[in-house]
Amino acid sequence: MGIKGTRWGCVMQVCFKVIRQSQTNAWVQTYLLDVEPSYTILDCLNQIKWEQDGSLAFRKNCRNTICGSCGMRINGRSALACKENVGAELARLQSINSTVISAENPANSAPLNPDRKSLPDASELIPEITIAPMGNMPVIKDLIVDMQSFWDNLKAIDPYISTRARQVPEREFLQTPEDRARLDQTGNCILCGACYSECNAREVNPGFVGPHALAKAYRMVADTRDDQTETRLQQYSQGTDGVWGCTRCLYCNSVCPMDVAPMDQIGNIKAAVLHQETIAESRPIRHRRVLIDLVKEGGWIDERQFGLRVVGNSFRDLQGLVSLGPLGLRMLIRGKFPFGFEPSVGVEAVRSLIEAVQDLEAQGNPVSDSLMSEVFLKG
Amino acid sequence: MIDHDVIIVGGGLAGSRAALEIVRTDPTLSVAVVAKTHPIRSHSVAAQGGIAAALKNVDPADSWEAHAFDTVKGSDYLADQDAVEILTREAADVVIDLEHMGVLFSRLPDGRIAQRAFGGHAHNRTCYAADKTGHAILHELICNLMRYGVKIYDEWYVMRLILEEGQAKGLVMYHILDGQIQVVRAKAVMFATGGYGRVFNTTSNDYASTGDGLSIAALAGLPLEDMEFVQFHPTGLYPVGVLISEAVRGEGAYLINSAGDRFMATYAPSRMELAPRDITSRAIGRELRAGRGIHSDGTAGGPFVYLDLRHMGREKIMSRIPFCWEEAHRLLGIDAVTQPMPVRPTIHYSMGGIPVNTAGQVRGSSDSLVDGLYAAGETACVSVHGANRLGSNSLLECVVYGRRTGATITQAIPTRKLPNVDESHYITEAQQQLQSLLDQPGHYRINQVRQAFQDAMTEFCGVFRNASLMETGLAQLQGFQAQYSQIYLDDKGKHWNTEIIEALELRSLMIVGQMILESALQRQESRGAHCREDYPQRDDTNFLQHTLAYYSAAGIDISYHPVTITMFEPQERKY
Repeated sequence: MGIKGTRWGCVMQVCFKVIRQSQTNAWVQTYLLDVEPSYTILDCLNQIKWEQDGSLAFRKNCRNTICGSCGMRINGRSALACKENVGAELARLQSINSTVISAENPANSAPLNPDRKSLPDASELIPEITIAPMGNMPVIKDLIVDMQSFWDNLKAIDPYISTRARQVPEREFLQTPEDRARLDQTGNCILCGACYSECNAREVNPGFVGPHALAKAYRMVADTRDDQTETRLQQYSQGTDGVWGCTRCLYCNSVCPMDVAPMDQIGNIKAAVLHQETIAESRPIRHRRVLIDLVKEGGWIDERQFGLRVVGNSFRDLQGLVSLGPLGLRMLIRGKFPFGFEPSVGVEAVRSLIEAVQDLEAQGNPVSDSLMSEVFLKG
Repeated sequence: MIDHDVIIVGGGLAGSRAALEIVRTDPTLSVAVVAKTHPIRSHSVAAQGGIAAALKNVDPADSWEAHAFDTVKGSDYLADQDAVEILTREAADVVIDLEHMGVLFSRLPDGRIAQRAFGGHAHNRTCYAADKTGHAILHELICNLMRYGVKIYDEWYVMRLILEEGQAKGLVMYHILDGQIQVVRAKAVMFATGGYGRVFNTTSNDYASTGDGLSIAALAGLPLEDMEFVQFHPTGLYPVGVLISEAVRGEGAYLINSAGDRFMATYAPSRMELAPRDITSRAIGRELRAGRGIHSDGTAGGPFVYLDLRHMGREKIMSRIPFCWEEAHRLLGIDAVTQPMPVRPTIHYSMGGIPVNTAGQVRGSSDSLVDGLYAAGETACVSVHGANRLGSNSLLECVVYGRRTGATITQAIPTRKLPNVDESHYITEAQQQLQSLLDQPGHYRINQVRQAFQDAMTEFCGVFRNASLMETGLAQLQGFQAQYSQIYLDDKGKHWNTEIIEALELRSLMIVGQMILESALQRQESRGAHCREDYPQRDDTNFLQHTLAYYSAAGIDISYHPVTITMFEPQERKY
């Protein structure tokens, strides 16, 4: 590679703790390296493999954040080894540690937890960087995970433009720069698996297709060339395999190395589903609509009506209604049943904010989470 | 033994476009793609600048003929003009087809595909997706392979081609997951394995670009064409070597030396920074030799020049070429809006490769074809790039010739039978090869030998070449080849053992390196990317012909193959 000593900066010692795994065993192995702060984590792993221990297994290829091979957990969160560097990792660890210390020790007095030694000066200890395989996928060896479910779930959302029903023109389909710009974020996805690795919904729901697949799904919905929008929205809003399976934990957004913001894209699909009158109303969709209606009416949620309207579908779903029985009983016994409802004092303000957002949407502006918060801040 | 109608080695643009062509035309055929990475990780994904086609969306004066002329002139008249005609005539059609497939091209205000300027092209004809064009195309193609049910063997390494009695019968491949060895039998075998940037120590190419397909063909006794033509891309980010796209100069960036001068005025006054890559790379080389390079502290005499974007402004940089800004920021902490980037030439592309005709059929010699064997993309030499490739013609070649080769294969399959193969012979041979690699007691690490080899190739076969340099390189290469039998592996298992792969790749690199050096030594002229200080002139009398190099353990034989000239008579190449 020929990079040693050629990049600007000073050489420092760093201890790499790698969570390793074979077919029969799992262990933590430490490697001491001489590196510069500008070295990427991938440079460091190469140095281990090429100079110290050829048995360490990890994927890599472009070393330039575009092929998506080197997803792994670096100091606890999924990231690309070729994107993160030693200096930034150490700075990040330091800021986390100082947050932990100040939280534990708000008045600068003795540590609350006597087992945790106060950290020595940075100069006294060799900084550590911990490397582990991605989550939510079985480990094959060391940092190599089996991505089969990741690919299968991508395939499940039909990740290709369909123009079957339309006459394909002799020249290109026209797409304005504004229409095209709506595809920028999702188009940047490199399918590295970082979001999938951290997805809380995937952890508990094996049917959920994952943030990568749904980000791609929104790309298909938003692409003006695709003619299957209605079918797609129907498909993506089935049960909890699609958009309604997302727990909105925000992890996908925070780890994505390409700023794809999968959770925002999931939100965009939900918005499209809610606006699509022809889609058969399901419980998740009703949940959203009733929520907004009730907040508009009372400034906050009237819990008594919420269950009846969402699960009982306003007395149309008798089975659903009956299923509420045991819950109602438990609430009565514990003294938590809401007998009355007081509208919020801010009901007028809340209603006008909701109406402002709905007006924007009616004018054809896609309302993202960030735009929403902007409106609310102004409000 | 595994049987398929078609087996394609390599999942990049050429391989996946060919596979798609076959299954779209005849969905009943069993088509498989085998690749040592997942296909979506192929190096095609890293292509930045764009794909050339005379769509005339921004320049009505453009035409396929103009594109053909630029390509032939860029090739220093070594390209085969029948192949160039096909490339440029079919360009618009393949780009429109990609658009219909869903590729996210950047757009003009009226909604048509946007096009921009590129080095060596006299018209603005490069279609692009910001500066991630390869990514945009490859992701769409791979998702379409899923749609049509193409079988993908990802993370399988192909160890050899089964070629018997002049017929390609299949492959031997190794599963990285568990060490399983399989023989694949097929009616048609296609190579689309990309280039070999890792032969050198500074390259824009990914780690997988180790010339495996080239070396497998060479070991099977097939010739490699024009291997001496190695493209240096002028703007590799110093010191890492990753690419700063030519699109950056297409959008108006300057190259400046230590004196702050736009030195391209001296070398290519009519095209300036948008001269072809060979000329621009040599210009940078000459500036560095003359002491007008720059050091890290900004003083003169250093190892790089500056690529200067500062006059372009933040908005243009972030909308047209955001990836290049991000690269410099991530790797060097530089804000290209306010600071110039350090660059120098980096190994980028292989003009040469496995010789094929315009139908994608592999040549066994100057006047014969290999039955059942096909190739396309960077690993093939058809030859549309001759002695120097123009930017945004490589994605085009992959798509045009990937599609054509797929069509040729589809037509050929109905009349072909599955060949007979002695499976056990090939499995035993492969097992022995791997076992001896695992067992050999050696005292060199793979990387020691590889690094020394890459350093030697870079020193003795770089931008400027001469006989004594290259003879030294060949002598040193013999030493490295002797060391190969003395490398040792830490990992003795067969469970995701990437050391085995690195060792096999090193063998490929050395074979390709030897082919480059021998071909370069024999070509006693300067043409395109091949610059001989001892033969500074182009010599059409003796060398207006393609090199065919044949590998054997005893040494390399060189012969020549005529250039097809149909439209443009060779003339002096000036910009």
